[in-house]
Amino acid sequence: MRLIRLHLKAFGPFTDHTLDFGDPAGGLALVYGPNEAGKSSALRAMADLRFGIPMRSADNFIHPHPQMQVGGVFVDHSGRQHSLIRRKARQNTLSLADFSSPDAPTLGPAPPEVEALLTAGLSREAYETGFGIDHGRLRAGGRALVEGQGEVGSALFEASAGIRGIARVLDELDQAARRLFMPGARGRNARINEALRAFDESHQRFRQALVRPAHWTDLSRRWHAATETLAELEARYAELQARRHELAELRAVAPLLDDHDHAAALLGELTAVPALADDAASQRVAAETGLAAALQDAETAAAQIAHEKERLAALAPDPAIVELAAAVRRLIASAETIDAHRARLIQAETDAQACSRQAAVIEQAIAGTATPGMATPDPSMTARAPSPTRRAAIDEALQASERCEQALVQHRRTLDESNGRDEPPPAAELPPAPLRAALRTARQQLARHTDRLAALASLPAELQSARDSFAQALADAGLADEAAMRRARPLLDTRISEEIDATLRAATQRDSHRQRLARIESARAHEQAGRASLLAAGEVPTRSQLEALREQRDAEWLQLRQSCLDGAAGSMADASPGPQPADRADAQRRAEIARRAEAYEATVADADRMADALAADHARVLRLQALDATIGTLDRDADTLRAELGALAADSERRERAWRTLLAAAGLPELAPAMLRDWQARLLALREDASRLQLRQTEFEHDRALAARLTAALRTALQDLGQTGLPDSDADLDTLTVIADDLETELHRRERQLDTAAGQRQQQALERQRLATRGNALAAELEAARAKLRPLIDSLGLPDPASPAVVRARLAEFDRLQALYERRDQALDNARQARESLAELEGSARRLATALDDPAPADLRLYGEHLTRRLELAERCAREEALARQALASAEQNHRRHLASAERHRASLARLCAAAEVDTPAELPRIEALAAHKRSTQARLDDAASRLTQASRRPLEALRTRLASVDAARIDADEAACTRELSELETALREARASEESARLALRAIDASDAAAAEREQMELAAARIRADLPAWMRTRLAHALLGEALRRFRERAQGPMLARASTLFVTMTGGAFERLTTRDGDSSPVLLALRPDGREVTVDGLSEGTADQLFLALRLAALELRRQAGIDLPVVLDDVLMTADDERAAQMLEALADFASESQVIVFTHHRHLVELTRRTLGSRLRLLELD
Amino acid sequence: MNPNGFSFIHAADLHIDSPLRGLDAYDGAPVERLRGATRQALVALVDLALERQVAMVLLAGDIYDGDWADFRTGLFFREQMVRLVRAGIQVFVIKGNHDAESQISRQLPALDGVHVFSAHRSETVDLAGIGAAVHGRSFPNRAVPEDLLPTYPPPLPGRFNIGLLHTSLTGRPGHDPYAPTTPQALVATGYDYFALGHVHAREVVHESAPRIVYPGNLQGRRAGEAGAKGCELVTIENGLIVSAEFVALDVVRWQTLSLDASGLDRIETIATRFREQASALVAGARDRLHALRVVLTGETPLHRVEAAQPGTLAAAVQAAAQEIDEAEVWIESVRLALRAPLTREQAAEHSDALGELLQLTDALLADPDGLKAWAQEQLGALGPLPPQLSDADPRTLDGEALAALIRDAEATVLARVRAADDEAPE
Repeated sequence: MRLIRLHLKAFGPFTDHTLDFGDPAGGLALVYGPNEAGKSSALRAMADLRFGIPMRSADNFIHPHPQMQVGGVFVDHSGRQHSLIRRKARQNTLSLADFSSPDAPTLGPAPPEVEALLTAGLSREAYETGFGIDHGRLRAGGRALVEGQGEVGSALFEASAGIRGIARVLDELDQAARRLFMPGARGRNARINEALRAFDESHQRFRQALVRPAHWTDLSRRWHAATETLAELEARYAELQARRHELAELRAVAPLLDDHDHAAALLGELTAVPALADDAASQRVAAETGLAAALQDAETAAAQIAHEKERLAALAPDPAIVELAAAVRRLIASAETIDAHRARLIQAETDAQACSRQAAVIEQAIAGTATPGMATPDPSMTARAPSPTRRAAIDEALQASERCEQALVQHRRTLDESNGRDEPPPAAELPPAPLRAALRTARQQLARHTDRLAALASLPAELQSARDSFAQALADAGLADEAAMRRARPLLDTRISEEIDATLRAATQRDSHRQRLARIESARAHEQAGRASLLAAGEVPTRSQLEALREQRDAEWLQLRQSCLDGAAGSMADASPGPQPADRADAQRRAEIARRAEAYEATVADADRMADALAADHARVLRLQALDATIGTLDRDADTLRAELGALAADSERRERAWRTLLAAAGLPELAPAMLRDWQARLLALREDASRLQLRQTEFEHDRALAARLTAALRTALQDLGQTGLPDSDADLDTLTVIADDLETELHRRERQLDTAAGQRQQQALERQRLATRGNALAAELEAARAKLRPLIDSLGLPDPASPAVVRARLAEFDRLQALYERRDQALDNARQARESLAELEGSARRLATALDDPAPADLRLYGEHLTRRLELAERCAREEALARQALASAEQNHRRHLASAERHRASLARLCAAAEVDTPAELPRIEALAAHKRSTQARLDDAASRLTQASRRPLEALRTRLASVDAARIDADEAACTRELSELETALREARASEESARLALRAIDASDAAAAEREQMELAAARIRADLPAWMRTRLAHALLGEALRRFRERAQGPMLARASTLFVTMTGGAFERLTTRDGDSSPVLLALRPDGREVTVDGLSEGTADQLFLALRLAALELRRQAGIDLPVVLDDVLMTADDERAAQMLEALADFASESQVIVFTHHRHLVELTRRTLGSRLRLLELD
Repeated sequence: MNPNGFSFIHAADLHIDSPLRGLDAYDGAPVERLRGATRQALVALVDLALERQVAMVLLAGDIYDGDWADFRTGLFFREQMVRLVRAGIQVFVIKGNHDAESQISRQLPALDGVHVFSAHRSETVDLAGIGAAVHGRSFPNRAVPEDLLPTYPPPLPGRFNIGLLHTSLTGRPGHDPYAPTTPQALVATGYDYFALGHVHAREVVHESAPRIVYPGNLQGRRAGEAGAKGCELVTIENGLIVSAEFVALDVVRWQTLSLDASGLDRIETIATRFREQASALVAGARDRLHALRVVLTGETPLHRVEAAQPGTLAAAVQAAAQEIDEAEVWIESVRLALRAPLTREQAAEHSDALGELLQLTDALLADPDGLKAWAQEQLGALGPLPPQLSDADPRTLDGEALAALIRDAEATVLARVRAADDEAPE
C-alpha cells in the first residue's frame, strides 16, 4: 500500500503535523528537513505506523509512551483508501481513523486483511532493508558489488534482498568449512583432519600396546619351566661343591695338627722362664748408650757458657742515637730537597712580578689612560668583567642582532627587484558562467552519444528480427509465450540424474525379466514337444489316472452292493400286495443290478489293464511325470516373472506420474529426464535471449528519447548565449553542433585571456604587500635585539652604539686580564710554600742536636753527614751484643737438659733388672735369650691353631675323628673327580640361568600398566572431537552449497527482467556515459559489465566509486520494481542518498528516480537545502516538495 | 572389627579400562584427570575396603568389557585383589555376560582369597567365622536367556545369606535381557541380601528381607551413565542389616544440565545462567571432575547468532565452565534445541532472493531422495571414516537427520547473510 498522508499526531518532536505526499503516482516526493527538524523521527514514524511502535521507542521525548500516536492514509492496489492510526500499546495498536476531524477519532480496530496489506507480509527488518535506502547502504552496496567483482548472481541477490556481502558470505562459509575439514593432503591442519590423524595414530599405538592373554600365558609357562630346570641344576652343583670342600679340608688339616702338638710339648718345658718383652734387649742397649752420651754433652755446654760471658764484656754501645734513629733518618732524607726549595722560591717571585706588569698595561688600555714606563696594576678593574651568565646573555643578544641585520639586508635586495616588474595588460569580458556551462554540458552529451545516435536508424529493423527469432525459439521449445518461460522452474541436475538412473534401472530390470521370460517360454515349448512326442507313441497311463479308476471302481462297487441289498429288502416288502407290480419292479431292479455289475466289471477291467500298462511302461510314465513337473515349474516361474513385470510396469507408471506431476508443478514440459536436461539448457539460453532482447528494446526507446533531449538542450544553450538564426528542425542537429563548436572555441579563448591577466595582477599585488610587511617586521626585530644587548654591555666601558665586533674585542681583553691575575696569585703561593719548607728543615736539625747533646748545626748538609756516621756505629754494636746474649742463654739450657737425660737412662736399667729378676744389668743378656726361645715356641703353637681354624670350622677332635675315617691316599683322586663334574655343571647352569632370566624378564615386561587403555582413551578423545566437529562442518558445507545453488537459480530466473530495468535506470543515472548493462561468462559464473557508447566493456571493479553506487541503486530499484509487479507495492524511502554526488550526478540520479517514481512511490528525505533547489530545477512539475519546520 | 557383626562392599560392572566416550579434548581440557578413570575408581574401592576393614567384597559381574583383550588390565585387577587378600578381606566374584567369554578372565591366575563362582552350577561358601553364607553362579557364556535363580541353593540356617546374581530381572531399558527373573522370586528364596549386577544405574529393587540392590557401575563412561557412581557398603549386626549406604567412588561424574534460554538475547546472560546452574549442580562434589552435557532449549534470538557462527554458544558455555570455582568441569557437549522467534513461512512466499533460497530448501525437503543425493554429493569430500566412527558418517544419516541438517544450513545462510549485511561498512 502506498502512503498518501502521514499524520504525526504525537510522535517524536511532532504534534498534529501532517506530511501530504499527494498522488503516489504523481512523481517523486522530496521531504526537506534541516538538522533537528525531526527527519529521523519522521522516517521511524513511517515504519512504526506499519509495524508497530517498539516497546522502547526513543521518540517519546515530548509525548510519553502511552500517548504516542502516528497515523496515515494509504491507498491499496485497487485504489481504495484506508485511514489508519497506530498507538503505543501491547496489543490492538492499529485502528481505523477519521482524519477529517482534528482529533482523528478511531473507528474500531483495523481488520486483519488491512493490516496484512499494510505490511505486505514482510517483517519490519525485511521492510527496512528492502525498501529503505540511505547513503550508508548505498555506499556499502556499491562496495559489495566491487568486492564481488560483479558476479551476476551475487549482485542480483544482494540487490533483490537489499543486503550486502553475499560474495563474502560464500567465501566465509567456504573458509569456515575448510577450517573444519579440508580434503586432500593440504588439509592437515583442519580440525577434523587433525582429529582423524590423531585417531589413526592412537589406533596404531593402541594395537602395538595391546598384550593378548594367550601371549602372557605362553610367557608364564616358559618361565616356570626354566625355573624348575635351574633349580635342579643348582641343587646338584651345591652337593658336589660340598663334597669337594670336605676333601680339601681334610687334606689341608693333617700336617697342621702335627705342628700343633709338637709346639705344645716344647712350651711345657719352658714354663719357669720369665716372660720378657720382645724388645727387652734393645731397651737395655739403648739405656746404656744414652747414659754415656748425656754425660759428655753436659760437659761441652759448660765450656760454651764461659766463652759467651767473655765476649759481652768486650762491647761499647751508644743507646742515645739508636733511640732517635727514625728522626735522624728523616732529617737526612729531607736535606736532599733543600736546593729544590730554594730554586722554586726564586722562580715564583720572578713570575709574580711579570704578571703584575702585564695586567697594569691591559688595565690602562681598558681605562683609556696609557702611561709610559712602569705601570701599577689595579685589581678593582676585574670587577667590571661580565659574569659567565651575563657573558652568555651577551653572546646570545649579539647573535640575534647579527641575524636580524643580515635578514634585513637580504629583504631590501628582494624588494628592489620586485619594484622593477611591469603591470599585465587588460582583457575582454565573457558571458555568464551558467549559460556557458549549459552549452558545455549539451556538447558533452552530444559527443558522448554520437555512436548511438548514428546507430539509431538501423535499430528498429534489428529489433524486429530479434523478436521474430526469439518467438521462433520459444515455439521450438514448446513454450506458448515469454510468461510461460518465466514460470518454468528448472530442476536440480542431481534430481534429473536420479530420475535417469531410476528409469535406466527399471528398463534394465524389465529387459532382464523379458529375456528370462523368453528363455522360459522357449524351454517350455521344448518340454511340450517332448511330451507330445512321448504321447504320440500311445497314451501313457499315470498313477493318478490309475488311482482315479480305482476310486471309480470302488464307488461302483458300493453302488452295486447297495442295489443288491436294496433289491433283497424290496422283494421281501413287495411280496404281499400282488404279483404284477412286484414282478415288474423286481425286473427293473435286476436290470439295474445287471447294468451296474457290467459297469463295475468294465471299470475293474480298465483298472487292471491300466495297472498292467503302468507296470509294463514304467520308464515312459516316469518321463512323462518329469516333463509335466518341468512344465509346471516353468509355468510358475513365468507367472512370477509376469507378476514382477507387472509390478515394474506399475512402478514405472507411478514414477512417470510423479515425474509428470513434478514437471507440471515446476512449469516444465512433459519430457523424459534426459530430454528435460537438454531442454533446461535451452531454457537458460532462451532466458538469456529474452534478456538481451529486452535490453535492446529498452536501448532503442532510450536512444530515441535521448536524441530528442540532446537536440533541445543544445538549441536552448545556444539561444541563451545570444546565438540567432538557428535552424528550426531537429534534423539540423549537425548544424547546431558546428555553431556550438565555434562558439565554444571563441569563449574558451577569451576565458583564457581574462584568467591570465587577472591572475598576474593579483599575484603582483599580493607579493608587494607581503614584502612590505616582511620589511617592517625585520626592522622591528633588529631594534629589539639591539635594545636587549645595550644594558648587558653598559659596564664594559664602550661607546654607544658599539658594534658586535667591538663588544667581542672588549670581552677578549677582560678575559686576558683575568688570566694574568690568576697566574700572579699562583706564583705568590708557590714562593710562600718554598719558604715554609726551608724553615721546617732547620727547626728539625736544631731539635736533634739538642737531644744528642751536639752544638747547634751551622750547616744543615754537614750536620746530616755527621749523624749518618754516628748512627751506623751505634747500630752495629747493638747487634753484636744481642747475638752474644742469645748464645749464652742457649748454652745454659743445654747443660740442664743433658743432666736430666742421664738420670732417665739410669732409671730404665733399674726397671729391666727387676723384670728379669736379676740384681745388675750385666746379668740381663742371659735371661733375655731364654725368654726369646719361649716366645718363639708359643708363636709356633698359635700359628698352627690359627691355620687349623682357617682350614676348617670343625673342632680339633672332630677333625681327628674324620681323618681317622678316610683313606688319605684316595682324597686327591676323589677331589679331582668332583672338580671335573662341577666344571661340566657350570656350563649347563649358565645356560639355564640365562634362559630363566630371559623368560623372567619377558614376563616382567608385561606389567599392570594402562598403556593400551590410555591409547584407547586417546582414540575416544579424537573420536569425540570428530563427532563434535562433523555437524558443524556438514552444516557449513551444506549452507555454502545451498547459497550457491540459490544464487544460480535466482540468477536464471531474475537476470533478464532485472538487468533490463536496471540497464535503463543506470543509463539515465550516468547521463549516457554508459550505453547499457550486459553480462559475460566469467571464470566460474557470469559477471556484470557496463557497456560504453563506444562499445568498450567496463567491469564493475573498473567503475568509479560513485558509478558503482549508481549501479547498485539501479539494480536495487529494478529489484523493487519486480517485487512491485509481484504484488508488494510499498513506497521506496531514500534517506540522503545524494549527499556526496555533485550537482550533475545528483541531477542524473534524480532523473532516474523520477523515472522509477512513474510506476512506484518514491519518497526522498534530505537535509541539504541545495538539493531542494537542484531537484526543483531538474524535475520541475514532477516533484512534490514537503518541508519539516 | 565388630565382634557381633561384619560389613561388606557390593559393587558390579567395573568395566575396567573401558574408555570414557564423547569427551572432546579442547584446549585446556583436564585430560590427565580423565586417564584411567575406571582404574582409579577400583583403587578407591579397595582403599575404602581397607579403611573400613570390611569382611568381604562382592563383585557381581562384568569386571572387564567383553571385547577388551589387553591382559595388563587383568594384571591390574589382580594387583588390587592382592591388596584386599593381604588385608584378610575375602573377595567373591561372579562372571557376567561381559566376563563369560573374556580371555582375560580365563587366563588370569587364580588367587587364594578370591573366590570366582562356577559357571556350571551354583555354589555356596559358608563363612562360619562371621556367620554368613555367599551363594552365586557365573555366566557360562555371553547370552544366558534362562533364569538361573532356580539353581541357587536354599539359605543356610543361622547365617546371613547373600546371593550374587548377574541379571536384568524383568528387563531394564538399555540393557540386554540376561538371566531374567523377578523380584518376587528373589524374595521367595529366603536370602537376606541379593547383590545384583548388570544394570548400570543404581537401584534399590527391594528395601529389606531381602535387600535387593543394583549398585550401578563403578564409573560412568558416557553421558548416558549420568549421576554419582560407586558401591554399596553394608553393615550386619546379629544377622541383621543395620546400615546400608551408597559410597560414591567415581572420578569423573557425568551430568546433564538443561538450560531454558527463552527470552535470553545475550550470550553473556546465557553464560551467567549456565554458571549459576552448573555451580549448584556440582557444588556437592568438589573433588571430582564433572563432565556436563548441556542442553539449551527455548525460543531465543540467539538462535540466529548460533546459525551465523555454529559453535558460538558451545564456546560460550565452555568459557563459562572454566570460571566455575566449585569444582573442575568439562563440557561433554552442548546440544541445542532452540527455536527461532520468527517463522520463515512468510519469507518463503516472497519472490525476492531470500524467498528463492527458502523455496529451494522446501523443494529439497519435499523430495527426500533428491535431498539425499544432493547432500551426499556436497559431503562426499569427507571420504570414508574409520569403522569405529561409522555412526557419525554423513553417509549413514537418515531422512530426518538430513532434513534437520538442511534446515540448519538454511538458518546458517540466513543468519550469515544478515550478519554480513549488519557488518558491512556504511
